[in-house]
Amino acid sequence: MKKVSVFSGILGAVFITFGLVNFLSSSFWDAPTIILVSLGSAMALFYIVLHAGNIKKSILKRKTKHLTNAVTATIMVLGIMVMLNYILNKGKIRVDLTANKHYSLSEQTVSLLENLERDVRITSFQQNAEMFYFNHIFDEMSDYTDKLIYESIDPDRNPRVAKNYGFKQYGEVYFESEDRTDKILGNGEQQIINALIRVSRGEQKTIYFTSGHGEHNIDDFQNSGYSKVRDEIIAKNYIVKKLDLARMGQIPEDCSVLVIAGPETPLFSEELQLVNDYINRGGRVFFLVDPEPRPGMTEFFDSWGIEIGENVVIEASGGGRMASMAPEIPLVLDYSNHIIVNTMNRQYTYFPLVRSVAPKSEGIPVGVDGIWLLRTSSMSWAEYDEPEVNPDNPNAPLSSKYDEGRDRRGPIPIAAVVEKRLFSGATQTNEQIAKGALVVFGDSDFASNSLFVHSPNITLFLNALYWLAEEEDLVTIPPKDPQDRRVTMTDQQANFIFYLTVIIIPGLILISGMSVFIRRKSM
Amino acid sequence: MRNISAIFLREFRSYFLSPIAYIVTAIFLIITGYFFYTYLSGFLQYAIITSLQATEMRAIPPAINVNQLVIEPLFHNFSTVALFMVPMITMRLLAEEKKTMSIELLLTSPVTTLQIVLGKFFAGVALLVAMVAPTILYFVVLVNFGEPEIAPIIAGYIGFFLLGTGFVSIGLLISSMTENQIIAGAVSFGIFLLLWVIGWVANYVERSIGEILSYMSLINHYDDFTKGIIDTENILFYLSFIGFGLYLTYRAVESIRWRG
Repeated sequence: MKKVSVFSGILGAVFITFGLVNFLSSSFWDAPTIILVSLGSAMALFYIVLHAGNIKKSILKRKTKHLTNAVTATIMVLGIMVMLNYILNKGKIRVDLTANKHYSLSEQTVSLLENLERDVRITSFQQNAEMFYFNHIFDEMSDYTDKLIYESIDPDRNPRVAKNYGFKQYGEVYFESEDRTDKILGNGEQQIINALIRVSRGEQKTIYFTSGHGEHNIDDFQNSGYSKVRDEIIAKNYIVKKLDLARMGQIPEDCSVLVIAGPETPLFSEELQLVNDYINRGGRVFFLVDPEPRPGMTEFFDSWGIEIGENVVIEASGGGRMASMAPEIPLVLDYSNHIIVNTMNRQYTYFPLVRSVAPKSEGIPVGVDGIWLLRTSSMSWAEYDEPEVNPDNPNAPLSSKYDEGRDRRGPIPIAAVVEKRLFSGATQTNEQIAKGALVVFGDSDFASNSLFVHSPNITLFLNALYWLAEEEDLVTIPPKDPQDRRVTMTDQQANFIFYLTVIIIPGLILISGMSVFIRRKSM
Repeated sequence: MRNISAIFLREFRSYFLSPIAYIVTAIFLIITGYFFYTYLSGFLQYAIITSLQATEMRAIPPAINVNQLVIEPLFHNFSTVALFMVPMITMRLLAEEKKTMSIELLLTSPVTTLQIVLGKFFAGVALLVAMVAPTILYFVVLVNFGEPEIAPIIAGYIGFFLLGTGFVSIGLLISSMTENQIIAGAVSFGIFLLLWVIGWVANYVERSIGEILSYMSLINHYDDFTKGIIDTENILFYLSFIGFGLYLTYRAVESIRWRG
């Protein structure tokens, strides 16, 4: 009997354990779990009842007292450790030591989170098994702000909630803030940021693109259209509208930025006057011009202290050739310190047919500050002649050559920004009430649909646009690609490394071990 | 303090008077050295292939980063080898004493239990450090022939030190619970492995339990260090883990007194 009871006691404990593990992993009290736990308890009870006497005796022994002391103290220490971990981790500090902060949220994300104005509720629908890695980025984001309420729901276990949200696919994430809602699929950092911006911005700003002079069309899906750029802008919570300035006769009150994207014919003088007045009131304008067809308007730019060249910038550095581009498509890596471009370092942008755009060195109107934004390399030049067609091979790439005295040597600026400070006029305070700005680029095709794949081009366009909309914290920071860090060695050297690390060093250690061993043996 | 260093020195010396220190270190270095060479030559080949491809397609070659492609996997490799080697280091620390009954001598001497535990612990940690110290050579090679980022390497070593010390504290605990070194070694290895993989289950259970389980996994806290991230959460975890291991060891050694 006694032997059986011992067996039953052990088996009982095993059954109880299995039952509890079962419960933990499925959190259901289903039939097998209940059976296991109850059967196990019964068997354990059987053991206890039969051994009651022995058990009583051993409880009273001194050893057991020591044991219970030790166990209680241990449990208390464990409890303290767990609490300590839990509490101290609330205020944890995390330092990313990699050179380009590869593994942290970008600065843009962090500053956005810290400046979040309203509460945002984020609900993600994901399968239980995937949840842990999916939630990681949201947990990290929650470290930077209290305004994020994040909940992760398994749609299979909560079908009603899922239905309320309109759940269709695993991985959907819903954003809600006051009266705005948004939804994304996936947990990419950029996607999440866009959605947070869309949903938490107070007022929506409107960007107007002019039409009527052959400008790039924001509704055009073809190669030369601007539809993809338009989609990017809408994704950042702006309203985008077209504006026929000549017909409207005025610039709408709600215009945050006016974009004139590569007109093929000059704007009418009335239109230019409207633009002039607009900037003088503190308006912000993004003007893109091309070398061909030449749209004139040089006096307009002149009056703002910008010189647009009647030329085409030719790149002779061979950089373009490396990316199989003709010399009329300069690759640009030289950026100024202006906030529009100071995050663009090491990313090259390229411009198919571009003309020079630079702040004038003299004759700048009063109250206007101008600075160049980007320029071509020193191995480029501004070509003032028409390129020559080769009569023997009309389809060959056109060639141009540098003409001393006529053409201008690089580096050639191809984009510039001017700002005009406006003061209240009251002599006492003379405070600045607004800043009109005009950003001019010597090419408009670099942001068209066909070049949309080259993301630094688009980043540049959007940077300028957002800066004009006075949203400095929306300047897009490029994705943190790993830095290029190589190792160069010859095969011989590599072989030597092998012998050194795998054979020589361990060998030396073993030899010294053996010498110790031998010496001891001989003692 | 003097007692602790006395015990420490005695234990540490005996490591080097026996084959243990040499064999453990040599094996650690052979395996990690071999992986270092493998990762490095793979990296060099990859660099050459992608440059060739890039010039052919007239594109800019992709950025390849020695920290991500060689150093990070290498630190992971360190932790895996340590998983096997640390039980060898710790298995004799207390089991030997129990077997030869010198534990009684020790316990009846004026040395306190705490001093015994700490002295042995430090000896184990010191051997761990001695075992991994020659790996600095690998990074010297990399610095000589390239430009790796240094800060993540330091972070990796810090993480490895914390992880290894965690292993030592548990190994010491197991060693204090048996007289048989082999059992101590085998059980230590089993527990290390268990604590390593416990995080994998996290995906298949309830979210809150999964979070707890993965927090308990020794290796989950190591990942950040290999990437070059220093997070006080991980440091706190390892320190708590080591502290708790030492506390349990203390209790276990104390219990020898009243278990008779």
